[in-house]
Amino acid sequence: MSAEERDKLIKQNPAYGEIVCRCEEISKGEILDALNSPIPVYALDAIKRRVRPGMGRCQGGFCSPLVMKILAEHKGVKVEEITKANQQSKVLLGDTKGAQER
Amino acid sequence: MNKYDVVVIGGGPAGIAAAVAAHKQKAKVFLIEREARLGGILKQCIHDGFGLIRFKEKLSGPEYVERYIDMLNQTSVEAVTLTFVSDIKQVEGGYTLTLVNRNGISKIFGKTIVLATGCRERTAKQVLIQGTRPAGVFTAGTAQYYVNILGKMPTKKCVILGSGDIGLIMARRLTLEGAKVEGVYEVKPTPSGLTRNIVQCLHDFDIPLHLSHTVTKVFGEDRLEAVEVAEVDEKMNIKEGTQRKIECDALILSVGLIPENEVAYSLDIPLDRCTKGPTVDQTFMTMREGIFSCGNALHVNDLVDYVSEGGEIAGENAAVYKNKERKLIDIKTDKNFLYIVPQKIDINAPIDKIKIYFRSIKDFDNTKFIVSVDGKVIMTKKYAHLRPPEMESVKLDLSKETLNESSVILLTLEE
Ligand SMILES: Cc1cc2nc3c(=O)[nH]c(=O)nc-3n(C[C@H](O)[C@H](O)[C@H](O)COP(=O)(O)OP(=O)(O)OC[C@H]3O[C@@H](n4cnc5c(N)ncnc54)[C@H](O)[C@@H]3O)c2cc1C
Repeated sequence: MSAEERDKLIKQNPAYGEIVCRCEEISKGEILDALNSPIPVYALDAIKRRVRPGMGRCQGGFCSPLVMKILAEHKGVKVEEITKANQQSKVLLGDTKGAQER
Repeated sequence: MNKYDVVVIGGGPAGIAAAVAAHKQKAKVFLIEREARLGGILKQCIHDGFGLIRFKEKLSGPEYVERYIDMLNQTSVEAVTLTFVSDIKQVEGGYTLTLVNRNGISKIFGKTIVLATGCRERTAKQVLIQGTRPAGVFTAGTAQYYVNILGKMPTKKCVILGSGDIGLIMARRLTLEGAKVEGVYEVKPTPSGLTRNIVQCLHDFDIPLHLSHTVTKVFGEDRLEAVEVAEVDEKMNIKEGTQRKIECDALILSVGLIPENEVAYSLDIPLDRCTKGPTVDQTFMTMREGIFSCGNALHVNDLVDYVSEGGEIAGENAAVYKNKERKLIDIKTDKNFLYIVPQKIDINAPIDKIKIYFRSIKDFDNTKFIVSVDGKVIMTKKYAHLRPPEMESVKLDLSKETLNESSVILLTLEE
């Protein structure tokens, strides 16, 4: 994609200008596209296979929390309901003490 | 296209200090951060211990960085967040940078660039562990983000591999949050983290530290169910028969940090084999004209106070940069150094206030740090202890020496 095309795309939908995965340069817009596709996927590994966030140098160290937040928001669930591969492969196990008090 | 004297990439403590320092020298400065907020990794470091050298106070990470953001706000530095540098090209008299953000694609020109992009953590890919790939393997920094920023628990019972500072801090944090930290396993015979963190994060919470131990296997299909640990010998080979299986739901890795230098790679900037950051002279200019480096992108610092100091060196020098020929000589070291920064001295630049940062290769007690020029000792400094995890810094004045391109500057550590 040329810079002009990309600029136009971002002007239509600013989510394409929000880089979530820095290593592979993947925008929030591209992740939302995968979620809005006919067969949406909500597991981290599946998103990784389709759009590639987390495939780079940091192996998702920086972006997996952000990707999880995007998935949870889109699905309308809590982040701990987003899993790695299937229902059983939970990433997060509930609130911290501080969060419970809030 | 907007033009600037100094463009700083990275809005952590190093980048902010660089921007403020460059502004003080009357430069027109632009600061680019890709995350939503300035502050870098300190945003998630809610423990205290920051600023002991700079402010003589024990601040939390966010408090420390807040002070610098306040300073920045009093300048006319233009700072943008959620902005990503997608390309840099060298042009006449400087560089053009292509930026991507929610407003679209734009270009700016910078006479100089300061790289302050911080570091990233080594991952499971870089340590050899056999077995399955279940959920529940985290780097310590990611675990820290889940706990401190999202308020979510990544584990109830875990094993920590590696004794880096972030892992030690997370051992304490997770324990305070009610999780069980079974132990910290370090493959080397000495810890990688600061002594103060070993004491305050492990000893004070009765968390065992197993030196010369590593994790050899991971078990579990969906979520991690157990790990196997074993003792290693001096050659780092597994000692047969010492293997032990530990049930836990997470493996947290604190196996080191690496300077983040994608931008430097794209510009073919030579990196130092030991620091993994760019090679620089005493002005913190890389081997590419007009491109400076500082903070954890230059070398992994253990204290943020040094990061701010380094940021100031880079920012100030970037602001006063004039494209004139450099005369570089190497600073040579004996085999007792893990690394030094800077690696070179430009004898055409000021040489009266050179700051040298170094780490020793192993523990030393009662040692002498010696600087000699062409065989003549010009400075010595005594150290009661030198430990690789604890970086040291010294000031060096070479203005009284007659230096030329064939001068030999040598640093030695005498036992
Ligand atoms: C978990 C942890 C605990 C620590 N504990 C202590 C402690 O107790 N006491 C202490 O003194 N020090 C501590 N430190 C060290 C200190 O926090 C770091 O040394 C310091 O934050 C490094 O600052 P920096 O600006 O170089 O990097 P960072 O803080 O990492 O900032 C780099 C910034 O650059 C941005 N960036 C990177 N690439 C780009 C790009 N291409 N475009 C735009 N922006 C980019 C990043 O988003 C980030 O905001 C700790 C560090 C960590 C990680």
